[in-house]
Amino acid sequence: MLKAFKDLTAVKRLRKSMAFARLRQLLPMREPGYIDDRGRIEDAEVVRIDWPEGLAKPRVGIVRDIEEFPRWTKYRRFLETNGFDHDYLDIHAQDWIEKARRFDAVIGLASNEITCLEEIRSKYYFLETYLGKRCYPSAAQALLYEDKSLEAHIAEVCGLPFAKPYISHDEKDALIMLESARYPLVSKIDHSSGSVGVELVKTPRRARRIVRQAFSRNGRRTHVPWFRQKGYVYFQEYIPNDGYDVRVIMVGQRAFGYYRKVLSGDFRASGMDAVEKRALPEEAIRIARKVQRSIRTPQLVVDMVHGLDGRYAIIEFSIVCQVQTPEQLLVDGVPGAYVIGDDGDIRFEKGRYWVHELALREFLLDEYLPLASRTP
Amino acid sequence: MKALKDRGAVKRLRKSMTFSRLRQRFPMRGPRVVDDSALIECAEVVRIDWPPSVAKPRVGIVRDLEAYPRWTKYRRFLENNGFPYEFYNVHAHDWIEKARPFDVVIGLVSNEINRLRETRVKYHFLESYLGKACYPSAAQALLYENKCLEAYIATAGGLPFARTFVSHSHEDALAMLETARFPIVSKINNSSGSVGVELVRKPRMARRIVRRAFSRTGRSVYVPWFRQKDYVYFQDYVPNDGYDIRVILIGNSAFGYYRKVLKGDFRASGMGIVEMRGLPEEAIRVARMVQQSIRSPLLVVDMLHGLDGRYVIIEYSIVCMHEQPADLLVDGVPGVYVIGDDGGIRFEKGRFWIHELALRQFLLDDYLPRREPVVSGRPR
Repeated sequence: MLKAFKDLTAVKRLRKSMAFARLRQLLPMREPGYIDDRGRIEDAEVVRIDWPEGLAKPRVGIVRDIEEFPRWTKYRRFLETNGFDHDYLDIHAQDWIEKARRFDAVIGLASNEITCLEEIRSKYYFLETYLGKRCYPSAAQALLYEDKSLEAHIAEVCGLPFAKPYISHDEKDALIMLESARYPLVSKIDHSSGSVGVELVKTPRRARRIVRQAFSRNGRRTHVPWFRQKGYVYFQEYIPNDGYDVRVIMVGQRAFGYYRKVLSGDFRASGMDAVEKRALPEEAIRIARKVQRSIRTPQLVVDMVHGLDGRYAIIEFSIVCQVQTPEQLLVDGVPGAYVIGDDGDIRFEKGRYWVHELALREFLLDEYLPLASRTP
Repeated sequence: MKALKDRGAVKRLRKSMTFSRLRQRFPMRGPRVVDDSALIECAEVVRIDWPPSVAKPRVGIVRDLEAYPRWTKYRRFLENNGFPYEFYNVHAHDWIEKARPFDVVIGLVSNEINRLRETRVKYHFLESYLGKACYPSAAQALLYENKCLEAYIATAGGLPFARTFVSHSHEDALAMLETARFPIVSKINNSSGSVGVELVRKPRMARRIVRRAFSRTGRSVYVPWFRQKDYVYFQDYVPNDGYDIRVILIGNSAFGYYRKVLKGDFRASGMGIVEMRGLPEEAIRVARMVQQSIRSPLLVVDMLHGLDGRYVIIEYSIVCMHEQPADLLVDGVPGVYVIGDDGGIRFEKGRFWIHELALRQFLLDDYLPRREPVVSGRPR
């Protein structure tokens, strides 16, 4: 009953509004906690790693996340399957440094809340720099996560087909920048996901209001009361499209993905739960591959829209996303993965995989091993 | 007005969270670029010994918004040493394009949290994707005003840091308080000049701080746009001789002074009661230990002289405010302690702008050794 109500289009739109998000904070809600779905994840392929003989397997500290569809259970499955010594690491506790000393690698991202991200960025930087640990995500990857401005900067310098952003940390400059912008624009804030904090700005007047508020002494309110958009604005060109976001998930040479339908009467697809799983266009995969060459990360999630002019334009990318099932790609109803050959050829292979397991394998092979083999 | 502000009670009031939050509701001048170029020529000229075979880098100066600006000293140094430079607006939408002509970007706009976030991200980008050298580096900017990270590094480096408990877990924080020795000092990240620093005398007050910090909306701090959320930072209160000692290190040079604790308070930082006299050798050696853990052209170490005779670090930073070119006076003579290779410390007369020395140190220690061809578009 409640689910049916939440699935109503108008309710979905309401739930993504800033006003609702802020109001919701005032009402009781369940505190975030660890979810253990291990009884329900065994229906995927076992992911094996080809570990070089003579090289000790690292002892891995797992930082458990508080996601509804947890990553840590998949990490654990992978480590158990492949005989890696592991344990949980309570990174939040005061004795975390002492506890971390026992591990060679630390993996996991507790949540995407800004407070948690700032904690992880400092702690993983410290672990890497001062204790010589390997972290997944790395401190640099954690810095990129949920930082839409940094995404846009990287896209610009790497020449990626990214929807034109207008970002400024200077009020006067922002106002000048808006004079040459084409409306409508999409306003976004750093540190938000699932379309929260994403607004369609139809007129210059509305855009100027956002600028004025963001550069005011107290900043602009966002979806949560403890964090404000202050001292910056992020606008992105709105690209008229075919009504879908295309999400491509890259893990090494494998590609997964699906479509997310834009909500009727809205312009956003992310977080609206209208997912369609079908074959991905080759061009979208090649664009995601291009992003992968610029961003060194075991897992890369690229969201793009198919413009009415026929071109694919990236609107966001990330180092991780929510994965609900081991079927992140379905082609004609068959679960699997696209495998990109060294010659650039793309072929489909059947299989059900937990993306997080593949990503952890990628991290161990691509980031841990090369450094470990160099260490005497 | 100044006389009123200098009163002990007014100083204490001005450092309270309530005052800071209330103050935000009244008109105040927005931060702006201050130019004190006409007032800074009273210091020695700082020269750099630049290798003739290496081209001098083109430097982009990011101007700060401090009352005693750094950028004017950076400019003086660059002009005196014939480095090409230009001002660089890192905040504008075209900051990437504008950065391209520079080899080096220097400057830290302010210590405001939103400015710091901007600097951390942009300097990381400049270093990783455009191959620029930045001062401060992205790693140094991450450390600036990040008291938790300071404490972690102190733990790993075995530094004589006041015993500190940092927790990002509600239950763990409460358990931690069971064994704490009161009073303790509560601090928050991203604050300076004693704002956000409180003496917590009783476990009940400490538990209240924990409860609020781990509440859904976090704990109010001195500004309404950010909150202490999901972490607590408690530090042992170290009974002391009534002074903070600040040691400023740049390479082998040490400066410093004493800051007197305000009467009836426990804080010295930001209270404006400075005493300039010779520094104890042990304090300089303790600061030198920090320098071995923190790679930074400029390092500011604040410590207390405990009643047990030991020097204990309470904070350190990659930068601090300098009002004049005399950050060390020994018997009324301005100068610097120079630490020899043998560890011997000698005093040398002179009036220096610390920021000029720090910039020279950055160019010699950080820029010169790492000069290599840049592969654009990909992190190094």
